[in-house]
Amino acid sequence: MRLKNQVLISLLTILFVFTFSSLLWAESPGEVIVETVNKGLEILRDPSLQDVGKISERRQKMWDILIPVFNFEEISRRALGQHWKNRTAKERKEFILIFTNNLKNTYLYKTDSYANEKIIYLQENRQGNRSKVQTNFVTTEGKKIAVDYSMHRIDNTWKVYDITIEGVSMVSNYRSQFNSILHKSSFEELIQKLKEKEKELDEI
Amino acid sequence: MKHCRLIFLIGFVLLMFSFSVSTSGAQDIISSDDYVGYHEDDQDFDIEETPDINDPYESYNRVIFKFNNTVYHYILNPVSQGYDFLLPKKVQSSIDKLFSNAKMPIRFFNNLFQGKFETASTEMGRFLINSTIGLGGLFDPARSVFNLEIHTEDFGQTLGYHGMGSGNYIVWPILGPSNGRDSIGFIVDIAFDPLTWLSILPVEPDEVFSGINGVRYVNGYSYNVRDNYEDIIKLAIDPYISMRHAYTWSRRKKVEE
Repeated sequence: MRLKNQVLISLLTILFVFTFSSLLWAESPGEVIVETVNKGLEILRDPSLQDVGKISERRQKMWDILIPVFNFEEISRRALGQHWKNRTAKERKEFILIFTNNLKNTYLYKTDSYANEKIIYLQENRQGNRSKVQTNFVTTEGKKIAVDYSMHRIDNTWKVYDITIEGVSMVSNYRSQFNSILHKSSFEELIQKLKEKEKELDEI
Repeated sequence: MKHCRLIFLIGFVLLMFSFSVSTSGAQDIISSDDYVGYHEDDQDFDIEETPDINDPYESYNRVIFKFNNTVYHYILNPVSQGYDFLLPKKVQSSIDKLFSNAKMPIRFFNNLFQGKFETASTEMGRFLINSTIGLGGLFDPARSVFNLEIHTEDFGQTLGYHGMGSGNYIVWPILGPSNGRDSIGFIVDIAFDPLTWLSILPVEPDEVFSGINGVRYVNGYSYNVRDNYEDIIKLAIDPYISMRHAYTWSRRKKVEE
């Protein structure tokens, strides 16, 4: 009986310590963004990864940093907007996979030319489980670009579901394209177009 | 110079035409960017109210968009890449600042037109500082030393500030994406542009004006536009729609500020 109690108490203690520490360790949305961007810029500046032959290794390292911070399922769902609800589970899965890959190739390609950029944290606007983190991205020439990260909290971690650059939301930009395509053609054709784009992106 | 005036005249007529048509029958040709939220809290928090973009001339616009692409690809980009080869980005940045400084009257008056007296006087202050110790605007000590940030306003924003809708989306040959409101703004701003004043002065030969204008255009394109434009063309799934969305929203943000 005593032993049982001891086990129970120690289990409870462990549980308590874990939940409490996870609460303590949970980062604010702003911290997640600044840390992630700085980690990414560090990789881009890493002298051992500057070689042209190292590009794919560098991109993979960047991607490993980004995966845990982005919620690609939510991004896909929002990008498809009103058309999401009529898709079967299988179609959704396929769409998430191919669209995520598309985003991966698009944005990793864009980061290739970055190195001496900086991020300036401005403020965050949190409402419950949602938050908008406002930052400035400063280019090498000192141009300031307003970049806002829309985030939501899932299982106590903050994840990005949209990025707004100078007032232009990435998700809604894709949504307007998908809407226009689905207005004229079928979902299968949209998937086909995404696949074609992926091939193009592989080549650049 | 004669050609310039002719182009503006044609542009203006087309613009008026676009407005007269847009008021009559544009309602039925609306691109639906609407989005049905799935989480109840979405609506309050996100800027998801994607507004309809009026684009009744989409098929014509797409033709012009394609034409512009060809011109950019075969003429402007090679020129711009040559320009990049000649002048490093740092120098382009200074030239960009120089032209930006010269365009102060556009910002000054449009700040005034929107009742933003403080930022208008900031613009005046920036002009005085940058024109003197900033060597005519090549450098920006007003910002780096005096912390005076630039406040870009144009007449399109002024019209938007006073409640005018953006009108129909238009893609102009060479000039690129615009809308009814911003096209009027573009024409009005020409009047506040010191380069226009320079072109009217009888002492300056037209070649000087065209030369300066050419450098301004190529530098502006190389420094501010080309890479973003190329990104959209290369990366978007439907570049025309992506550009229309990006133009509309970035202008919207500027009007709101």
